[in-house]
Amino acid sequence: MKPMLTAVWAAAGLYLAPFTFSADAAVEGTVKLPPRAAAPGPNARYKNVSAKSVAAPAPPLAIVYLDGKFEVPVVTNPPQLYQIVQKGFQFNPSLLAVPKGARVEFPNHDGEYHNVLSYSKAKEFDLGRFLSGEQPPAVVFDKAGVVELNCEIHEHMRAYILVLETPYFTTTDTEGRFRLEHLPAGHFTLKAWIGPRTAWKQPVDLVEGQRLSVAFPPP
Amino acid sequence: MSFRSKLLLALMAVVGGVTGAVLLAAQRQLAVAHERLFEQQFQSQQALLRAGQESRLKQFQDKCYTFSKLVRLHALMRRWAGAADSQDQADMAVTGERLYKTANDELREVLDRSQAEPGAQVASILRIIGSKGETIPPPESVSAGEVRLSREADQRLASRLADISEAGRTLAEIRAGHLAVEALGGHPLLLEVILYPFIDPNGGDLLGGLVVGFASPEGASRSVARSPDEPVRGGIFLDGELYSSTLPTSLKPILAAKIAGPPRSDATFGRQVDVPFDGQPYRVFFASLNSGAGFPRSWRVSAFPLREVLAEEAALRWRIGAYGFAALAAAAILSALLAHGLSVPIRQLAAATAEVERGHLEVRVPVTSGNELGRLAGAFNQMVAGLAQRERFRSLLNLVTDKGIAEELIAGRVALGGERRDISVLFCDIRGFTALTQNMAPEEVVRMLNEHFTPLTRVVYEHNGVVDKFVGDLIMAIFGAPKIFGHDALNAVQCALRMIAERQSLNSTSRHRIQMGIGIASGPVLAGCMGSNDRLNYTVVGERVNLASRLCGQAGKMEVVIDQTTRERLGEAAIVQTLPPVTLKGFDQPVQSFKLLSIVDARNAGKPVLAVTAPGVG
Repeated sequence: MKPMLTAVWAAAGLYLAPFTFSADAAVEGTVKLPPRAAAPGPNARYKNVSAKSVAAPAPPLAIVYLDGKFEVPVVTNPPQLYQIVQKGFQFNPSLLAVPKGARVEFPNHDGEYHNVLSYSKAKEFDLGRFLSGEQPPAVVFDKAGVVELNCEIHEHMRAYILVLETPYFTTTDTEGRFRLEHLPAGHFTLKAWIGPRTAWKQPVDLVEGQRLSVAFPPP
Repeated sequence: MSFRSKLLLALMAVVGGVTGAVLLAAQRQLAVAHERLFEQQFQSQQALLRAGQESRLKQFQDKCYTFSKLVRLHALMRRWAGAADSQDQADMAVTGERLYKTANDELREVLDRSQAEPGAQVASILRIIGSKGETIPPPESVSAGEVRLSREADQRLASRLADISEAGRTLAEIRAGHLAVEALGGHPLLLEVILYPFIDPNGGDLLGGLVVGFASPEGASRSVARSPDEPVRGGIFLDGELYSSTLPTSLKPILAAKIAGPPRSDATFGRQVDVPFDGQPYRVFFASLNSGAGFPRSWRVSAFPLREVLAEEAALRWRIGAYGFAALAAAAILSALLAHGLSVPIRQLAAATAEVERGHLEVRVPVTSGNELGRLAGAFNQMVAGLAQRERFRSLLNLVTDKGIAEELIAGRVALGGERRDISVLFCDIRGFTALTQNMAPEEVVRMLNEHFTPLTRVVYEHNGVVDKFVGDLIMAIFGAPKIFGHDALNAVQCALRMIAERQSLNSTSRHRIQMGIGIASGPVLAGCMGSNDRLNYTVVGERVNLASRLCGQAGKMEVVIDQTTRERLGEAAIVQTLPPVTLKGFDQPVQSFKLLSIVDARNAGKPVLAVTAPGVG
């Protein structure tokens, strides 16, 4: 899993590199993350899911992105492909930032049926029920916004996809640390998205060749 | 008041009191029993209605509960919350429509009569409320229950639901209660409303809730009946309004007054009120329904007909009254009998007592029983016998001794051993008695003496004298003892004159012509009972007694001779002839004596009222 994600990010970084040669500002800092949620008990309704097979929820992370108008195109052709897998009765990752127009696949790695649906305004879809190997087609997220993913079968499963119109975004590590490099200089808003009810922003002045340090929540 | 009346009154009072007490106790007992019966009926009716409600709602419970757990519903609710937060009206409308469509899809059997099981109920209203209690407006195109509400009614419902949601925010449990809505057309409708909360399984946040309302069958219930012709009427009292097709609206203010009293947190059962309606008395029970938090408090009201109960009570009263009356009659008869048993012997005793009072000592009362009255009668008889015996003794005493002395003796006024008294003593004997009787048979002598003594004794009594003794032909009489009458000397001489007159008149009729002489002396003597220890005699002794006896001897035929003392005591009343002093046996000095000629009435100045020579004049 980890190597694959790293590969995806690496791909994103490589992809961005040709457009950021003239911008070399950077932002780094920390986001105060919420405490880790406890593992949900097995719901009595899932007769063939034992407590053991339900994995602990993924640690909370945050997405930090630079909001503003950029000359760099966000939508690429072909659109970038992302993955959120269902494993251990959890979505993984449970928080994913994608650029507008990205495609996301939802492979099922559990031995049970899963479902992925969203009633979010940014993207409504219902993939129906599928088993491992019955891979539904990838979903294209062509509208910016927050998309809440649910599994209709397993009500505790929840994931969010942040569809962004900016190419400059990153995901913190589990400690809340982040670093954004190769940013253009100028006046922008730096935002941190932790959950549907928690998002912070603060204005930043980026200077060529300088490294800015930012802490969320803003003081 | 007679004993009979008292006894009757007492028995009546006791019987009446007991009857009254029994009546009171029985009535109270009956009332308690009825109360319990009503309560049991009410409780069982409550249980029945509750069970009916549960079975009616059960078919929806699962569906609504499952619906409230739907992931897609939760996803839509979160979207609604986001849209509402950002006041995105377009998104709110879209999400609202999606929500109600989802509800219609999932709850088809609850909402659509054509899809429901035959006979099953269909939701009158269905609303989805948001996490802040706001009612998500149902779109026109989608069904939100059978009952259409006016805009105002819908707003009122929404505000009510907001209150209910707010009150149960922290409870997050299914709640039920009654709500009244006004359907289009204005007629009020009582709804059984259930609120299913939507809880986010991730984090437990309250997302909102589903509100389903069914027309309450109790609002128009005739369902529970004791017997076909005695329907127990019932309904629901909510917000000052009475929802029932069987209870009259006149009950409304009564219930409102009863229920609106000071707020009580206790179990509210047992408060009841008797109300007449439709011309019949009813007992009305009401109990607070177990409404969920936030719901207005509602009351189940049941009215039980009292006609049978009252009839039973009346029958009981009548029966006890009849028994009481019979007991009273029995008591009257019993008391009459008892009183009769008492009063007859008592009246006999009273009559006998009156007889005894009149001197009829031979009277006896019958002893009919061995009880107290019998013993009393026996004692009475003994007493009368004792009295009779005493009376006989007294009569005998009167015969053998002088009447006056007998009286004084019986009265205990005679001193034993004698006392000094001042009296007059009279001796009267027959002249020539020996010569007169020497040729007579003794029987003839006795006859003659009885004939002589009887009138003379009477004369002595008439003059307050006492015959002391008869000695042969002699009478000794005393005046002034044992009883003092005053004027004893005058009494003695009047007696003497009268005796002579009596004898003279006797001489004119009797075979025996008798001449006699009388001597009277006055002065101190010793009077009292004298004799031996075995036999006593009341008499007087003294020198004056001897003098009287000697003066008697001195008197000539039909003459009265008195002594000096008597003469002095008579004063002007006596006309006497002074006799020459004589020497008498036993007296040292010659004694001065007087022959009594007549007694004059002092008031008539010397006119003789009695004279020796004037026989028969009184």
